[in-house]
Amino acid sequence: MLMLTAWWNGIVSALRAPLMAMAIYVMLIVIAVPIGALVHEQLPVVEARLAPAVETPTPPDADWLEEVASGAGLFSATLTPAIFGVAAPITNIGAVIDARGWPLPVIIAAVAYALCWAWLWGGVIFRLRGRHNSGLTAFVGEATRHMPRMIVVSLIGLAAYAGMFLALHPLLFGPVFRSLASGGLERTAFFWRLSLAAIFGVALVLVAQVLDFARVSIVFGRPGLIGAMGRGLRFVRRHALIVLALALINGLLFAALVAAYGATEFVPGGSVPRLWKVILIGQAYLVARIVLRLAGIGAQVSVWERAETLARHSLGEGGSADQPASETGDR
Amino acid sequence: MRRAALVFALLALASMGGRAQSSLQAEGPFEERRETLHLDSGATLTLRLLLQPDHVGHADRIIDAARESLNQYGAWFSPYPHSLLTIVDRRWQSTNEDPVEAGAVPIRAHWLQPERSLTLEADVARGIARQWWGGIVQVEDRFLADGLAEYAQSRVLERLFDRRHQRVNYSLAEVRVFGDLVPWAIRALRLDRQTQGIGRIAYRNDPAVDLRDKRRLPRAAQAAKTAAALVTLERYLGWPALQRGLAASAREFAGKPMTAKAFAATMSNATDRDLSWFFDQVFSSRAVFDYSVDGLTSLRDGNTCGAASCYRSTVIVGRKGAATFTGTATPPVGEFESGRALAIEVTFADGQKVLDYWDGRAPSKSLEYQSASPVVSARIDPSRTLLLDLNVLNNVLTTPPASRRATLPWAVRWTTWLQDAMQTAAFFF
Repeated sequence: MLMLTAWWNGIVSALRAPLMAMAIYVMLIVIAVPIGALVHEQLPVVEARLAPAVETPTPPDADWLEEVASGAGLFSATLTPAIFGVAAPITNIGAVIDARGWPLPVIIAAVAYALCWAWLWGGVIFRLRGRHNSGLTAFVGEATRHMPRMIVVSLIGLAAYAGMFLALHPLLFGPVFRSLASGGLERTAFFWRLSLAAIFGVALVLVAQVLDFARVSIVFGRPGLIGAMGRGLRFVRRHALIVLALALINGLLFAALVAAYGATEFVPGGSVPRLWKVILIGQAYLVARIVLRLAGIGAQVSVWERAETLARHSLGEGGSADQPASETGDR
Repeated sequence: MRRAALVFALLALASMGGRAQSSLQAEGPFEERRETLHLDSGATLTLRLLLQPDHVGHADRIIDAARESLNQYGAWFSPYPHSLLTIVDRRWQSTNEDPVEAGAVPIRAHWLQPERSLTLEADVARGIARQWWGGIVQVEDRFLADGLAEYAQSRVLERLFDRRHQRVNYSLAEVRVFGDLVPWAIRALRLDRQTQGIGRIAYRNDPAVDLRDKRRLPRAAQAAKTAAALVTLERYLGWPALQRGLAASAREFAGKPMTAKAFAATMSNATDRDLSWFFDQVFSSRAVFDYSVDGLTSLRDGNTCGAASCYRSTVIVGRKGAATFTGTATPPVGEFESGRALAIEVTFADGQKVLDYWDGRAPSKSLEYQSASPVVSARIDPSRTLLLDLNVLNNVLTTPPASRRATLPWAVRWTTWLQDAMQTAAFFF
């Protein structure tokens, strides 16, 4: 029940903060568009008649993409069919699961976006906590105040993820997968890989949740960094089922969003949407993805608040959200 | 005498088939299915499928691709000589080379195989093509057998895609993730048989590939270069002439070894043209084909052309690679060119078009025009006959110069992809 309430609260609080979602989206644009312009600049100048896809509803020409990509210098390796519509999220998530390295442009953009998020975290949690518009000044103030600690939390997370991708991933998908799948059918191998991915995914989600709840703890007035990490860890340990269930719901919603995005990339009858529609649909998908993330954070905030309230009721004012479930009455 | 030799060779191949299948049996256990195919030629053939247990669901697709391949190759090359064909679905992750064996076609299917991405069918068509090129005809040069099979399967796939989806394409683009176990067919990105269908990108990435290199690594580029050469001939000579040459090769070398040189000679005889100018460069040299339009100017010259003033326009075309696409082996005499394989299309502002020809031998050639309208564009090889041309983006020049508008859709899609990658990365911070 607590989980469903938290999930619903997350959705509501995210939808009540459209300006915040738009601000994050603007940051995404501000970082990505200059790099996109650089790519455009790098692409060879070609006569339009060589490019059959230009502003016509005919499907793009893959051969032409190959020709253009080969002249795109630094970006040529990234100009692949994977940039098309729903293939983008599928291959990007695939890159994470398969631990394929990201190309340099993505790393640069991701670092810039990570810095933006380090600033945003404080304001976002503050805004979602209040579930009402507390004003731009308060948002900026909270975001700026917590930024240094958020950067450190992200760096700790980075180290944890690096350890997982450098040690756990090669172990699971190397010798373990090989010993399980060798000599068997491809279908069997798929299910083994899926099982291993689930193990790795749960581990990733748990680390992410610990970091997120540490951030929540920081904004909820317990600013000590080491203490916040400890509280995040204890909270996830004590509410593991709820935390994982929330992540699962968010994952399912994301899968539904990707499916909806995929349904729009092709017009029955053999054509593709015009360029302006491609842009509009792609950007709408990205905005929805941001809202989904905010809903996830909103749900985390709600769970934390609920646990904290229960703890206060059980233990008086000194109670905290990361108190043992037996003490807060929450199971 | 000739017929007796042919019968003997076919009997020998058939007995080899038994051994071949036994070598592939180790890839089992299989689920077996048999289908009697009534081919267009009137012949009946038993198709035996040995499928991995998790690939049984693909049986109908495999049978359809096999039927189409046998019908087409039978019509294009020569009738299939055996009454039994076994398709062996190799074990997942089998790293052994595919043996070329009479009566046995190894394929590599995936458990998850999108219907619109015809990679499975391509594998079947490629394997069956090897029954002719490597089986019936013992092709001594690996690159030639691979290239012929690659070219042949691309034609079959185009027919299959057309029949299934009412479009002339090769397949949909496919990306694979999750350790290559999960495919995604991109519905918005259809592939063309004459480029992606023969894996031209492999040739583009290694245009100077040594066709005699026996290692495994350059095999894809070797096959792509040979297949691109065949598509070039198809466009230059026309399919009927090329098909005549292929049929002659299949007939003449049935049960006999065929070298690349012998294939080139047979093609020349069958098409009634000396094609040594082409095959010598493709098969025996690492020279690269690359033609371009290097200059385009159009200026008033002070004269009058009717009521309007005249323009003097100059178009400069160039040869950037060492290989030449001449159209003839006859050497030029003095200043006169020999051959007219390369077309140059010049378009004027009033819409008129002029088609000139070049033998492509000199490092560059200048064409001059006097006209009432200025030239607005010049394009070499406008119908893209020379598929071996390395860079097609330099094949055209326009006035005013082309803008970056043409590449904008790609940059937009790339940017959206980047935004999504950033959002995915945001999970970690």
